[in-house]
Amino acid sequence: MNKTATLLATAALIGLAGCAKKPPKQLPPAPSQEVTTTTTTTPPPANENNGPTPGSRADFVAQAGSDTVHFATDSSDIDSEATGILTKQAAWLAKFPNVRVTIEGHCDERGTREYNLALGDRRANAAKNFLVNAGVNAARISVISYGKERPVATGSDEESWAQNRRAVSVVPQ
Amino acid sequence: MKTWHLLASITLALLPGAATAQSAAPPGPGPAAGAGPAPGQRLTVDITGGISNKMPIAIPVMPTPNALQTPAGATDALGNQVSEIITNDLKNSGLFAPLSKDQLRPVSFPQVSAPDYGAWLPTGAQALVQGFVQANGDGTLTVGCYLYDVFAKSEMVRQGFVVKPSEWRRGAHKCADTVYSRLTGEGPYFDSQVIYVSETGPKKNRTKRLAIMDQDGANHRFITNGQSLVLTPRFAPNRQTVVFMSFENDQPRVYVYDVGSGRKRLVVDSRSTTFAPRFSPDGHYILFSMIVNGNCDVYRVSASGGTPTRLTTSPGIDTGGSYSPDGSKIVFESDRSGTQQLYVMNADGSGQRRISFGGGRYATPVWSPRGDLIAYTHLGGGFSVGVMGTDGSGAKDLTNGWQDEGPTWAPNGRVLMFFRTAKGSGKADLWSVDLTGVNERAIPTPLDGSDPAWGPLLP
Amino acid sequence: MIARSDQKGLGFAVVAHLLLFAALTIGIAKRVPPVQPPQEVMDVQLVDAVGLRSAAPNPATEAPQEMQAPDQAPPKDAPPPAPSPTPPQPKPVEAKPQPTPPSPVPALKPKPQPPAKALTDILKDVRATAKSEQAGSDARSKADRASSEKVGALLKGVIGASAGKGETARAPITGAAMNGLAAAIKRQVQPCYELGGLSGTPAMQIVTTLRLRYNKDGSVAGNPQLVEQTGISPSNRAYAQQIAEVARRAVLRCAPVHLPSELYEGGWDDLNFRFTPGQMQ
Repeated sequence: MNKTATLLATAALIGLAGCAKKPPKQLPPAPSQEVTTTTTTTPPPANENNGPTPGSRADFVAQAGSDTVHFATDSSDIDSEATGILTKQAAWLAKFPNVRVTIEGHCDERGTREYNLALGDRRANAAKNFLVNAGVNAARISVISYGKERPVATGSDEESWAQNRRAVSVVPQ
Repeated sequence: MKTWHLLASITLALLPGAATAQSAAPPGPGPAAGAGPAPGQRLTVDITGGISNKMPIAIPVMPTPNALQTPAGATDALGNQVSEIITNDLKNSGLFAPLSKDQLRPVSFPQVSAPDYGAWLPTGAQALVQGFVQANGDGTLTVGCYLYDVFAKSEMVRQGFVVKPSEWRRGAHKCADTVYSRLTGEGPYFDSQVIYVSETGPKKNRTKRLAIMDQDGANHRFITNGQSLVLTPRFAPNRQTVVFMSFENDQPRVYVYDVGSGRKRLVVDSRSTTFAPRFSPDGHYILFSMIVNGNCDVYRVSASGGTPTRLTTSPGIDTGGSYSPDGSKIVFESDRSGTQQLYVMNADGSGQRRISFGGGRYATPVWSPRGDLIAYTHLGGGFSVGVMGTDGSGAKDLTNGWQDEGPTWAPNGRVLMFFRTAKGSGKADLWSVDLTGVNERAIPTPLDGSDPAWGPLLP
Repeated sequence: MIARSDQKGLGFAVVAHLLLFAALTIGIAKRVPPVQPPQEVMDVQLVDAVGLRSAAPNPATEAPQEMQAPDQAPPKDAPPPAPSPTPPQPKPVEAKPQPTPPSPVPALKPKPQPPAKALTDILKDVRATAKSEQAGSDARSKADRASSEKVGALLKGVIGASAGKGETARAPITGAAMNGLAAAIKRQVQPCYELGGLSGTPAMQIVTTLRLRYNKDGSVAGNPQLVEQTGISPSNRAYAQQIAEVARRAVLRCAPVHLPSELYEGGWDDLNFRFTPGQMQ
């Protein structure tokens, strides 16, 4: 099963690489940086008595490592880091098949309003497609774009913009 | 001897003719720049290079034949306010310099149609606007409006406007439009409204509400309550209907909203994301963008509802459609080439061709109501608002803020409104600029503002 | 020795010439005081008859009925505007036209004293002027189109091209003086050439030529007349009237002018202004 998943993931990766319009202009920040979204809570330390409820959002974030993947400017390509995160997300979603997930797509502020709505949707769909290819039932996944309307970082600098170019997988609390 | 005398007489008699012939001006070309005219021809003085300036104009308080109370206030007070509205309209157009209050003199009712030119000449005013406000017996008001050329000492135009008391400001705007059009040759635009998104709150979580106001900021009212994120509202040509995009129920979709009744419905009965709506000039169609299977395209649907027609099919992002004023063509933005650029197509979707070829990216195209230009957002280092010909020629950026975005045309195709976002804070405000690039000015709104759409001229 | 009969004849001839001279001088003297401008109609006919170039005036640019913007419809639910019962009647629909401007320069102007010259020169000028004015006055007294045309033809032949422009022959001013005059006038009028809202619009392509007459005191006589506009195209036709008004406003605002009186005659008494909105490159 794992091998199939890996094969599928690889195939998906190759497929996505073929569709890539251009290489990412800049890499998203290193994984060690703390990234918070409005939809997550800091997971409490894993503890048999006080750990997050299995199947909860907190559990999702703890297990997948992150509910957010990032993108290069003007791009909706899933890079290697995103691949790792989405793979873990897919694994968690496989464990809890009744949980529905909404993927939000977001852009940084350096785009016009309407185009950013479409670009955010592209990013959300890119994450969705990855999950579907990783075995998640498409019917469980809905997509919504917020364009540039809901940034997580409020600065007007490269670091903030990089944080805002994202797709967030939201599961119920 | 006799012969000699005869000859002498004849010669003398012929002298006038000869003399005349000598003094007659030979016909020739008109005076060249370097030479005076030939004798007998008229001098031509060449004056080249006019001064770019605002026309000084006097707009004294408008008297009333009888000071009467009306639902809109006393007519003499209204006369004062009407002249102020006209003053502000003309000043804010950037083309006029109204005299200050201390330079104005009171005008009596009989003087309204018989101006005292001599009194206005020393002020330097080149034009004079006089008028009156009068309560009619049937409850309506009449705003009389007279425009005079101070130096030619002649009347240029006069017009009267009968208005309901609740719409008294429109009488002032109509007078300002009459004056503006007569002096500039441009179409009118002061008697119009703007719909926009009123914003407030932290950058991460802005509260946005739709609002409508007169183009001078008066009569401002909210039409949504801010509970759902709302974007990009646009008027129908009859201004009774509005299209906009809302995130209510966590579903970003376009709604068609009746301003009078407050009722709204979805533009298409679909779960797909829809946004970027715009009415056709005749009000029969609504253009919008819809994302189906991850692909964003421009669609058209009847304004009364039904099945939409797909107009673009490229796998890129196609959005932001805007009709030409004759309804025959649509300009839109697409990244099918790899970056956002502008494209024009026929109204049925055929004949799609790219028109933007300057450096950088082009977005949010809007066709001028005059038909001659397309306004856009130019993305380079920052965002600028600019205009180009309908074939893409002569592209010229008019503004240079950090992020100037989303232009909309005044009904006369001479003035643009847009919104400007501040770096860092992300605060957005409405701004306007003249087509010639002058008079970039902030539009005062109660809160912050974005996504303005200028409505048509009121009839 | 001259024969007696010849003496008589010569004497007679001399006397006759002196009489003629006297008659003409007195005739001129009568005309030195300004002549009342003749009837409009008559002048127009005369000018039309002799003009090589049409000097028929276009109505001055202020005549609003020519290029008036369409009337605004009142708000849809309001009755049509009603005139007020109190003194000023605010008829809201049509602009009241101004009285039509005075006629163009009459074909024949009063001729002030020419500068002092040698007797023969005076004679030459006086005779030239007298002949044209006499012919003109003949035409006026006849008040008859057919004869005015005949006179016109006569004037054409006698006076030549200068009368072909519908005017008397002017005292010539040197080319250099004319250049200086044009420069002086430009300096005085240019500061008033303000484009207002027309700056930067397609109206900048329209070149407007006005004809203007000044009184001797430098004030504008009558109304400037629009001679022609060039550079009008579909993109700027809507601005044609306004750009002409800008030109007219320039000459009306920068008045009275202060110019040498000796260059008035044939110089700045009657001249054209050509306004080009843009800077020459």
